[in-house]
Amino acid sequence: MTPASVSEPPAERTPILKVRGLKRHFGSVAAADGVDLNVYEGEIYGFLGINGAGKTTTIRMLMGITAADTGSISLLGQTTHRTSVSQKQRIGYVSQEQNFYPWMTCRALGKFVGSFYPTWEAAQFSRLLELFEIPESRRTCELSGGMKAKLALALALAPKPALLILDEPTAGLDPVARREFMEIIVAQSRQHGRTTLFSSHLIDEVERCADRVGIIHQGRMRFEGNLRNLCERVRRVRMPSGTDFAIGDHFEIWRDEETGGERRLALHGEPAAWETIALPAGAEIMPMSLEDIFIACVGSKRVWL
Amino acid sequence: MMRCLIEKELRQHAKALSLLFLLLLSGLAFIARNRFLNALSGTPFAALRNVLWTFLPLACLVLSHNLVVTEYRHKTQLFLEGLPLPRWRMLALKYGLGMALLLAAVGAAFTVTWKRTAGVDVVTTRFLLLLALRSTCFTWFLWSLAFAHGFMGRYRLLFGVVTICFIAAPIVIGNVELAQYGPFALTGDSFAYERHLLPLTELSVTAGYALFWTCVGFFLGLARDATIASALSSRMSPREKIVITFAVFAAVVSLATYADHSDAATPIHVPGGIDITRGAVTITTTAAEEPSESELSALNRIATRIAEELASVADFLRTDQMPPIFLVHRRDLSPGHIENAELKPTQGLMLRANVTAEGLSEDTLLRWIVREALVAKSLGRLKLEHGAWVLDAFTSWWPHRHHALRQDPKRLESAVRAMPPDFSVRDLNRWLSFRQTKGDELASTLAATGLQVLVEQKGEEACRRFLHSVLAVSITKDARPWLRDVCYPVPKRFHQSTGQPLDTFVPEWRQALSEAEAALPPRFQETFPQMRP
Repeated sequence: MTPASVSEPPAERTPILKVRGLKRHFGSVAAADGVDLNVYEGEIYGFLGINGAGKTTTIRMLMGITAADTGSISLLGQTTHRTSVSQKQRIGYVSQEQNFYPWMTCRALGKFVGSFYPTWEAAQFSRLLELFEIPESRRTCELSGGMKAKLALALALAPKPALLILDEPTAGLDPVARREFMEIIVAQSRQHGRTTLFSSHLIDEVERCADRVGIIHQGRMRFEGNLRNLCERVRRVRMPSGTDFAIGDHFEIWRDEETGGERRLALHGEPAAWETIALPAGAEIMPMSLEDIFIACVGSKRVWL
Repeated sequence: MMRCLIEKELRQHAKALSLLFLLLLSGLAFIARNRFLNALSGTPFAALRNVLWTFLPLACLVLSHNLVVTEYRHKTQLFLEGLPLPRWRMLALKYGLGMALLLAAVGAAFTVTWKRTAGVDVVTTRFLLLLALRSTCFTWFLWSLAFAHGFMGRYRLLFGVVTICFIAAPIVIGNVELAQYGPFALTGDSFAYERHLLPLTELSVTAGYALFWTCVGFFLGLARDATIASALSSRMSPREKIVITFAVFAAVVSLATYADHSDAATPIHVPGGIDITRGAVTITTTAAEEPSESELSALNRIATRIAEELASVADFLRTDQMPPIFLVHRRDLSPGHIENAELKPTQGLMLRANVTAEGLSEDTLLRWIVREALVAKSLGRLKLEHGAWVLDAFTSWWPHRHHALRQDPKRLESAVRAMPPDFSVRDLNRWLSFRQTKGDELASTLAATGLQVLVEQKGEEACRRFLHSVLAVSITKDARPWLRDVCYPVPKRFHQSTGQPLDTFVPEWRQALSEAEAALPPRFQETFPQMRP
């Protein structure tokens, strides 16, 4: 596995979350194998990875739910090995599954959760519930999956957190509810300039909402940067099958595909390197969609069809 | 924050807590109102001990289920983990809340008992402190055990069974007085009466246990970021259920078997008894009172006859193991009265009879002893329905084994009278019911004719093989005889020993009886018109 590629950080913004070398093993399985990531203030960060890539483990470590074996987390100016209670009080968290107490009403749940946050605003919570069209007096067991996700978001936003972390919040939702939910997140983040990190394995979701993305695969970050930068770095070279092509030191092959008498190489390199690339006769460079880049990043290296 | 968590727990488990509260109220009423028990034990504090032993374990289990099991089973602990709340604090709150509720209940019971003693008993401060210390320590132990138990998740039942076995094993196997140790001693017989001595050893042992189980509970709840508790709380797969059930069953059977083996019955020693041995049979004779010369002589003569008879039975059945027989002469018994002293099966057979009585039928005595000796040899299994007809057949057939079917018209008459027109294997399989409708004597005679027919048709060796397979196999005190009866039932043994299935033999048996009846002189034939074809 190649080391993570990191795009240039925006110099004018400060990282609100900086993670270095975060590792967590479950037996012989490395769920997180040295994760490095930076989330800057006010941005929406899409944490992309296939199922089992290590997204949830990383987020659980960020939330202090799971302890890291090694590594450091610098959150809101404090660097620790494990996120403390005071740090957690400044984070809004939406987990993958909503395990609310079924007998509680939304209002009672808000009151219960609010007691853990010094910055909790009951009025804000009520406003959010109204905005999300969730009846306050309804018990959580009577809510649909989409409404539960919205309730979780309301609970996460009510204390006005400095950082919002969402772990695949749209998992299990239908496309309409998913779109609606992501629009709310984007609106809330843009409106209040709230830093948001959300994980997903859905490329269109990340492409539509995220300012910057991090791609994690097998517990390691494969890429971190903005989408435009990613598309500039990763391109496809198409050439006839059997063409001899020396890629040199400036490029890394993400995927080598041979189909229908044609060879397609997904290469990763610095934008400047693409300007000076020496292509063999009959070869051409093509742009790639984010989905193709993601598949090239996390899929099989060689494909012969 | 903590107040909200406590409120949440109280609201969430309001129903269970209300039920416990009602139960506690009834316990308190029991303490306050039960004059009879109070008078019987001499102090109301004995009733407090009863409440501790009945209400407290139940309350611990209910609280552990509600505070721990429910949280993990519904995965709501994941919701709590997402909040700014340390995991240890969440567990500590549950632990503390459970303990506080239990102590409140015990405190209420304690107070009511104390008030109840006003004007009845002198209660010193030291005595009250001792009681409070004992109750608190016992409550702590039970709650910490239940708390840890709650984290066992799907293995709670298994853990419960293992715990009960662990507690029961020393009592059953080692005859250990458990009431002398640790938590049991704290709330033992002296609980309501000991006013001065501080049970320091018991208190420290109980506190040690409580601390241990508390650590186990917190370890399960905190270790590996609570992944152990989460994994344990998931439901059992069907395969796991089968394996666990089988393992528990096997463990309980093994323990019971071991206990049974280790609980070897004390061999009977008859002072002044005289042993008479013939082959595999030993008979010890004695008399309830000092016997006269003639009594001694009669006792020895009968014992010798019994020994010889049983030895020939053992020889016929090809067994070298017969239970020890004890023959006690009781001159106060009536002639026809034979008493079985009901020893443990492994101790043998003890009978009491008046061996010098005028009307004593030695043949009846012999037949009775042969039957009971075989029952004792089988550890009582021959009384079970599936093999009962073979035992009846043998004990009735044995004295007449040298007679052919037609040589004994009276017995043939009885057998024919007992045999219904549709007599079949079904009747043999439901022999106890059949015997009840026909009477013991008729049914036994009919069964014996089956053996006679078998000897006539298949030879004595086939009959002996069959009888050996049912009456003479060695019996162990475990599940093996039961398994053998299930896998190798009597009809199968019959088929294997004689080469003929039992269900085809029974019609031949009927036919043989019919033919034998037809060959009888006319006086007998007229008696049984129903047997004519």
